[in-house]
Amino acid sequence: MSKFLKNRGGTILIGVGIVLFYILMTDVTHIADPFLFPSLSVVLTNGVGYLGQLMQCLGSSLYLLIIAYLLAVVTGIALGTYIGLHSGIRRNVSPWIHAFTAIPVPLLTPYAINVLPTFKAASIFLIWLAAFWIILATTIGAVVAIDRRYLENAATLEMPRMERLFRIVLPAASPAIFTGCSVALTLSFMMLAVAEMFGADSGLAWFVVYYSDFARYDLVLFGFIFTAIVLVLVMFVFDKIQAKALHWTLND
Amino acid sequence: MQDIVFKDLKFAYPDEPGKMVLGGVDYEANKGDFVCLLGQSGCGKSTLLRLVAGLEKSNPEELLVNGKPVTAPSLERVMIFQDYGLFPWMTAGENIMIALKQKYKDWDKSQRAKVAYEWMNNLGLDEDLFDKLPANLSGGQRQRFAVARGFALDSPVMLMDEPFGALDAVTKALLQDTVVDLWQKGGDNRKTIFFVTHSVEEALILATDIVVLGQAPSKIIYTHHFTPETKPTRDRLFTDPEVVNLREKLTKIIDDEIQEKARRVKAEKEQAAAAGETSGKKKH
Repeated sequence: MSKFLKNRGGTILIGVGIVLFYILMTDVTHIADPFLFPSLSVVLTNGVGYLGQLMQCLGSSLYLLIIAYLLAVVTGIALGTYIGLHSGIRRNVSPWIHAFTAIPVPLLTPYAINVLPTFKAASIFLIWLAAFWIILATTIGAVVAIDRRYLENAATLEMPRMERLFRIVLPAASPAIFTGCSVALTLSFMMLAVAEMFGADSGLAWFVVYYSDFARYDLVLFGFIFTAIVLVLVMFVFDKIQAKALHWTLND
Repeated sequence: MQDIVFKDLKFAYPDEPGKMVLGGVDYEANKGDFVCLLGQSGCGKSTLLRLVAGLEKSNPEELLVNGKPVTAPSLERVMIFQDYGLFPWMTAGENIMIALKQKYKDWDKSQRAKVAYEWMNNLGLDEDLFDKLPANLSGGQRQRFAVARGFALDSPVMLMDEPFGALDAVTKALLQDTVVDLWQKGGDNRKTIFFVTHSVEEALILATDIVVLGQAPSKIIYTHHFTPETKPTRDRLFTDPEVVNLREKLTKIIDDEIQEKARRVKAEKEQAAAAGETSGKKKH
């Protein structure tokens, strides 16, 4: 416990600071508009009654997010590694990758909804696309940047192609690939929120949008807090996986 | 064990085809030779090693190992690098194990581990270092693991590219003695070793044959062969007049090459500047 406080004491203090600032602006000084920024006690008291609905929304959001993100990780890393290892293909497709990366994915929402058969399929497609490009681009860059001496070392050992891929290429490229996956996860969250605003009947972003239409800002804030906690937990899990995979690069 | 023959070996890197690195190297190393390559920086010592390793493509008639042209890297010619010898994401022990896995495909994990521990022991490495990551080892320990891996593969040819260049003097001396000892233990089946170094002293202690390369496009400008009787030892390095003379001679040959290169570079610069001035005057 003391180790946890030593490592994370600052994080907890910042959180306490934010809560105290909100209380100061609402309950103490009444500077903030009480309609848009209800008292924290009101937010928590009213919100608890909607926890069941929020858990259902969490299930819907995680379903979309996990499928789309994992699909993006697998396709982005597989294709990025292949392109990264083949300079001829890389020269030809790189301009197209840059061009597609520049298209804001939310702009494709109407196309996705009209072309794909269901809302879920459209949402998964959009979240996948948002994560895919960044993972693809960083994986290509990571594979290209592998120090050639590692590859030469593997070559002098006559390592078979698949073993070289999984034991040398991917581990050597993994620090940069993880950076891309981390950015892609954040983009996936943002795209999830966008996707849930169109045609969804459940989900964390849907919850916030739905109750804001009824001007229930106590529930809107409760939804924000709940979503923030979920995001922190998801990123915590991601960081743990990253720390385990990249233990050989970490200094602390 | 294998003979290595260079027949007027010429080489330029594919991205700079007009800039010859090797300008016709003629040499024949017999099996079991310990050849030290000396020469100034950029003279093509490492390039020569990379060609033997198969990491660069040579003309098939100009480089033969055991009578056959070198077409690709091979486990028959193991390379020990100065840095990057170990994969940093694997433990030091795994680095030996993965090499053994490629060479001895029918061995199970326990056999590979047994041989890895044996070679760690031969190189004076504690068994508890097996599970350490390379980043958690000292430079000397890392190079010991790289050498252990090289010897564990039991390849007939070992190519060592300044493997001890970054080590302190004491560790370097210990590793030099270990390598010579392990090489000599091979008896009639001794490995053929090509060893790139900047240090004349290191070459004198290690080599059966010293080869000095001139400036690029380089050729061999001096060779020296030791018999078992004339082979210098560490304690004779600064006391035996013959060894001292040879050391001074080698140092002078390399220094003269460095001076000659400096003169040539200066002359080229002056020539280029003069050419620039002439063309400037013509424009006016």
